[in-house]
Amino acid sequence: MTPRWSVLLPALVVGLWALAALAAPWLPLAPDRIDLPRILAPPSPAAWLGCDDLGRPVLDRLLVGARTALLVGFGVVAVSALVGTLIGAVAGYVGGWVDLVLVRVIDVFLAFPGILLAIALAGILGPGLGNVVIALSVVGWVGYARLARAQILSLKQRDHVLAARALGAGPVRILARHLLPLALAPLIVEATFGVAGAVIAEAGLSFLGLGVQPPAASWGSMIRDGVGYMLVAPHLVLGPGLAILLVVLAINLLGDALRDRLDVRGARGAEPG
Amino acid sequence: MAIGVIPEPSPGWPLSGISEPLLEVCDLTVRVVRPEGTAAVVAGLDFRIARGETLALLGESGCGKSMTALALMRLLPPAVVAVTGQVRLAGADLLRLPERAMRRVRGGQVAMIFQEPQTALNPVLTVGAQVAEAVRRHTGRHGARAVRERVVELLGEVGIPAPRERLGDYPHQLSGGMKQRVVIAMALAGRPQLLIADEPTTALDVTIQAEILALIVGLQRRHAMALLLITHDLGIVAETADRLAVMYAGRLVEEAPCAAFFAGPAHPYGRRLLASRPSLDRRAAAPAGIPGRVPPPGASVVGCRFAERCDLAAPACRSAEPAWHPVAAGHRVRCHRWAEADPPPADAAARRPRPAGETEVLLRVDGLVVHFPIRRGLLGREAGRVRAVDGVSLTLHPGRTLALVGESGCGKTTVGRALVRLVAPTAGALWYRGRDLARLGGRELRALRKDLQIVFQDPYGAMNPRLRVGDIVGEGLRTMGLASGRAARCRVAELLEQVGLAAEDARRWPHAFSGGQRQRIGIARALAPEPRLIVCDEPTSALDVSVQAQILGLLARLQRERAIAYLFISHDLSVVAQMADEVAVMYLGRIVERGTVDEVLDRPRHPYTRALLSAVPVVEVAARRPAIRLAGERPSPARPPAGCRFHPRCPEALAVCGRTDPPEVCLGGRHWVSCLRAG
Repeated sequence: MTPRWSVLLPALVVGLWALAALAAPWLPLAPDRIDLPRILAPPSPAAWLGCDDLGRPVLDRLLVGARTALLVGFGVVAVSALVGTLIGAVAGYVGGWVDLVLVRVIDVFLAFPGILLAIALAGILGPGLGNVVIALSVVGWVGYARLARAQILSLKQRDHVLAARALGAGPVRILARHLLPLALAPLIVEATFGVAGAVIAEAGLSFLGLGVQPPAASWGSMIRDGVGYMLVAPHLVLGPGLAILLVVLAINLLGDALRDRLDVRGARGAEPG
Repeated sequence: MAIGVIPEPSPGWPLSGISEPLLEVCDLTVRVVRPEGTAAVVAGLDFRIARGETLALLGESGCGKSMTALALMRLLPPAVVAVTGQVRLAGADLLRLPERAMRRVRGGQVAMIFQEPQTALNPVLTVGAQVAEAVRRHTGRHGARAVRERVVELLGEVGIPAPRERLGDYPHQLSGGMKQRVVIAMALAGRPQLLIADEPTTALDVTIQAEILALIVGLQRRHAMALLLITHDLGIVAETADRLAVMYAGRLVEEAPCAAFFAGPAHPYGRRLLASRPSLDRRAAAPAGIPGRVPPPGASVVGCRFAERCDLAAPACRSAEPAWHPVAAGHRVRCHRWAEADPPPADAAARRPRPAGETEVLLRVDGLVVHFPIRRGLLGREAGRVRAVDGVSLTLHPGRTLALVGESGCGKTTVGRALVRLVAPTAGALWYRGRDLARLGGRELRALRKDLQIVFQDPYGAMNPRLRVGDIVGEGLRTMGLASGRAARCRVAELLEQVGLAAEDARRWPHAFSGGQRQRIGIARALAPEPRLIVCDEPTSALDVSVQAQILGLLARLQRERAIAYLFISHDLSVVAQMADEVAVMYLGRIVERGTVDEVLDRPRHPYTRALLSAVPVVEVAARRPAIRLAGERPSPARPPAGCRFHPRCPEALAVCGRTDPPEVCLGGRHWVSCLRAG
């Protein structure tokens, strides 16, 4: 088969991002080394992406910031997808008043503008990586819950679930074995897009000063620091800005490709697992 | 036969007594373009239809009959499909017409009716608008008044009562039968010379099917249209067609006048098909079936495509594809060995012994009621109730089959599910071993589930596609703690072999199996906990006749070996005649008549039972009954009529029937009926 560039290129970008994030602690980087003579120095062989307003190398900070973005992106998705799927699945399967209550809770969360709620939460909890993950997860689980509930509602009418009940399977077994595995495909696609959303949200919170605290590096806080010097030293904003753009675009392209692959209507034909 | 050359007239061809053909199909081949190359799903078809004649194209699913119809209309996507050959309609080759001219042919000279009236109509346009569109397109009438008059005329012609009032209705306001009538009206708008009907009644209930078939045949006679009827049902062919062409795996294998075919099919496939068909009069006979499965569409087969499943096959059949052999005038067959007689049936003990007399009672259903609340509004207040099952009493005996018969929406599936407690009964009792299943819950119910199992209709939806066959079949063993690990695997292998699959199949995924094989997996799953009762909910209605016969045979064998009781839910009286010891006929949540098979089918007393029986298409001319037409539509189970529920449609209703609920009356033996006129 011919190589599909629309998949290979984004995969390469995401791969590099993950590699940088995971390998950052072992690389000879000096993200916090202040070098006053080199304040706002443009890109040069010594510092490929130039230096920032304290003379710190932008490339080193970018690579360390990748780690923050990755931790937040995957952390938020892991927590919110897990919690959301569980709540949605229970609501859909149990039904009755449990469903009624959970759906109302979901509606209340959806009624808030998500990022505002996250800002408020991050403000209350105080800055820090862990608190950013918590704030974004509190906002993020709702989408997974709604999707999981809809999936379970349509799947639980299928005859194979009735057959499992007739064979004496209990509710936990039916959910875990006969419903969730079939509901997973759209949730995985949603989670992929969720990583991109979380990366942007983290950058936003950091831009507002609610994310990781200085001197730790984050793409959002790098942009905030660079905004004041945009006309004199545009490389301060361009570096992290392009990093966010590339990563988010790549993840979304991969998500699209994944959806095309998984979204085969009717599980008849698709070879599972 | 060389491609692109008009075939030499072979012996027995052209058919004597037939005037100039309206449609002449020569060497029609449909190839599906796949990544690995093209595959012929319809191979070298040739047939003719004379003006005013009905030709039935008979075949099982996947044989290419629908593909043929779509190819004639040039409705197949050219990117996916290559069509070659010739299709001459009154001289013009349809395959070579420019698309503009072809658009005039579709709906004009040739019209088509599809299987699903539900999807053939646009749900957001009124019925009047949809028929009017067809009228404007094909008659050149444009005045609003003239079009409207023609639409009313057409709707009246297809038997829609008060057509003028129906113009503004949307499709969802009409029943399935009415929708199919609208589709037919649209097809008639262009005054077609040829009507192609692709399984026009398969999605409909049997009484509606009889009406629609009568309508199509009547219209065909009145307008002297030719009819190409595509179907899998031999009974429909026998009742409506002049000639038939049998298709198997993309090829025509036999072409004959109907009378000649039903008197003695020449091709072994036709003979087996006829033997597989259950009949109202062939009671308790072990069905024959055809072993094996149809080669998948487009498979490349050397020699005769039926050879693998044919008990007459000789070495020559596997090396050379047979050419047409003339049998008689107008009757030809593609078989080397058509003149050979059938070997005697292997299973001489064809008749299943019927247990006689009273036996112990396994399960007694007493006044079962299942209502589903209709909830509306924010707080889900109950706004009404669907009375799916409204007072049903039945008795099941070990080793016997009770058939529950009725049309869609009568509540038969709900009775089956309530019996195995998959839906909770609203009222009534289910007595099993001295305990009332309806009152059991939790652990006690779970312990009894072992004895009560169910087999579903749709072999695709009934299994988890993410589990391997071994896990599907072994599910019950594990959940009930009957066996685990190695013991469970051995038991699964044993079960698979009992239902005619291989032990190695346990490691495969369900999608690798055909519909019939999946139904075997479903039966193995139900058998695993060694149940005493199995509810079979339309287990064969999604299957082809030849496969249906295999599954019915399997069910009968398992019952003989293990004395399992079946509640056999079906809409097909022919299947019921073959499988059941006792029959209960259901209408709108109630049982209207019950008794032994012979009592109910030979001496039906309830007018509804009689109407159902009269609607079953029958192959034997002598056995046909005059059709009893039921007035109106089945009422909604949310608002059942007062008195006898059948009285608004009953041809024999008295005034009192609308006031009094008829009690169940014994007519002698085990024959009970709920009809005021039966006393």
